[in-house]
Amino acid sequence: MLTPELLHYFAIGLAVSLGAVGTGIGQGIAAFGSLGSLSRQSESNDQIFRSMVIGLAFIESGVVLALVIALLMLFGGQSKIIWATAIAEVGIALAIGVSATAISIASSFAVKSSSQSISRQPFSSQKILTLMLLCQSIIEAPVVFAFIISLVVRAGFSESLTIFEGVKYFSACFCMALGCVGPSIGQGIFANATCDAVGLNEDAYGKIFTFSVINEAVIETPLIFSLLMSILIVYLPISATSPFSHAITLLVAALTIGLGSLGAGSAIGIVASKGCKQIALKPVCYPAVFRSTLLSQAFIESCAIYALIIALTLVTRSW
Amino acid sequence: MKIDIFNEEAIRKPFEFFGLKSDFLGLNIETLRNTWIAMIILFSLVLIARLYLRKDLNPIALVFEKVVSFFDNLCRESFGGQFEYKYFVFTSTIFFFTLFCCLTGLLPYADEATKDLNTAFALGSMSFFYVQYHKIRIHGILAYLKEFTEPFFILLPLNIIGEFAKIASMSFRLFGNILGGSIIFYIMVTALEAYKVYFMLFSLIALLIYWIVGKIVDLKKHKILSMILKMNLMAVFFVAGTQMFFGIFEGVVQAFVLTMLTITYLAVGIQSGDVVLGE
Repeated sequence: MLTPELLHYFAIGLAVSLGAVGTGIGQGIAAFGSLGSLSRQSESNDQIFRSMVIGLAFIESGVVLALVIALLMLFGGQSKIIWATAIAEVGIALAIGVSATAISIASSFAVKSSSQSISRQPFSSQKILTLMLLCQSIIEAPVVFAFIISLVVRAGFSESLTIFEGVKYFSACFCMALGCVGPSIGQGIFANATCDAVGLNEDAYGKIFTFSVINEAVIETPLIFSLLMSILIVYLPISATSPFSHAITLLVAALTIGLGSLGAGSAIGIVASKGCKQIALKPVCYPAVFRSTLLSQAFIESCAIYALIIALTLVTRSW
Repeated sequence: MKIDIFNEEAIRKPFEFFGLKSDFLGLNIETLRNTWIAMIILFSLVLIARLYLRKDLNPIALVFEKVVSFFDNLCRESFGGQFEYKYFVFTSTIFFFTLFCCLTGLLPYADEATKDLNTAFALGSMSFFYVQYHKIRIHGILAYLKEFTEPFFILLPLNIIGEFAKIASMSFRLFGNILGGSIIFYIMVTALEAYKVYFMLFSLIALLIYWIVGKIVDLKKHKILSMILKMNLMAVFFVAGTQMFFGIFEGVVQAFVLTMLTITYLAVGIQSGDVVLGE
């Protein structure tokens, strides 16, 4: 027996439990890597322990934001639960839960490989910690975006919400949920490689740092596209006469940009991680590696851009 | 709050007087104004550079020389033996124009000029047609046309679509990134506006507490205390940090990516068949 109340409580549970899955896996990976490197280089246990604690705190923040959203849905002062808000709440739960899972697993790889690097190069632990913090704070971006979208959607709830608007809000959140998976995979692979590369060759730290800053901005591009689409969908003005197939169009646009950024985000991350390793092994080749990495990333990113063009055309179409 | 990618209110039609009412002839007045602001800033910087370069050694001239020599080196490395001075001029112009068009978002009452799809499309198509012109100039028209049929003749339509897709990917990359950043900043400022009194009180108290506690205790010894105080300070500078990331950093990276792509397409396009890599 499906009622709006059932869907409402299902959404509250889904938000926290989806986020908790990834956080558990991520903290497990991070602690596993840190303990492995502790056993290898037990003299530098102080530095490794410190990096592990900071990293675990960062990983935790995803599920904390999911908890805030779930509490907001539970005690948010919503007097009457109707179908439209229930559908939108399932979307919110998907957005915050999936993004929390994705970023937790991605940022755990940064902690794991930076602990291994510290065990290899105990004297440059400060540099490795800085790089790890940079990686983790950029990896955090999807969950912050999902949090903003959830708050904006939650602020738009009212008792006179039509089913159409409910589906509109659902597709905005769905867009964010799908869109953050690919870039998170890419960021995770890249963070793993870049923290490892400093351990391989600490003299190339300056080059690796510049390379990571630029590449992380490039990997983040598909995510910004999906955020753009999701905000456009949230603020789309709809007239009372538009047919229900308009709502389906919004759902299709969300699916387009979400799936389009999935492949592109992860592939850009893989390319960047290989480039990072090459720089660590042979710092002399830095300009050539940098150029070819950027060029191949531009070609891969075209896929996400074509998805963006199609999604923009779908959303801005007049009915 | 209304967010619209095509700002209909700002579009003027200057040729309406002559009976030309097509949408193609419309001009976005805000984009025009922002582009002119960017050009004025760029031009005044050029004048300052000219003024200081006449004098003997001074730090301001050194900064300008450093920036120019960075681009010079970048072009020389990328083009190798086929470097010509005009490539350097074109690519550095693209970079600085895009950069200053992105940075106008930092000014009050102005927006990013590259937020408009038309500006981004103009920049993308400009670099595309420049590359095509030099390909024809170096290889001749016949070799240029023959390149489209390689490796098989069947791939001709695919090659043509692929070339034109470059314009779309270049311009939409710039447009999407800058528009996304500007919308995020807009939403944040709108959300903060409702609580601006509390936010300012909070920032004032956080700064005061940091200053007073710093006078009394040595913060380097009490790590946990200093961490808590610094987190409060970070919340104060959160807005500025977002502005820094999306306004300055995103703009620099996107301008650099556009320039690098132009350089690389040009370098790949004009090289002859048997070129030895690396000098």
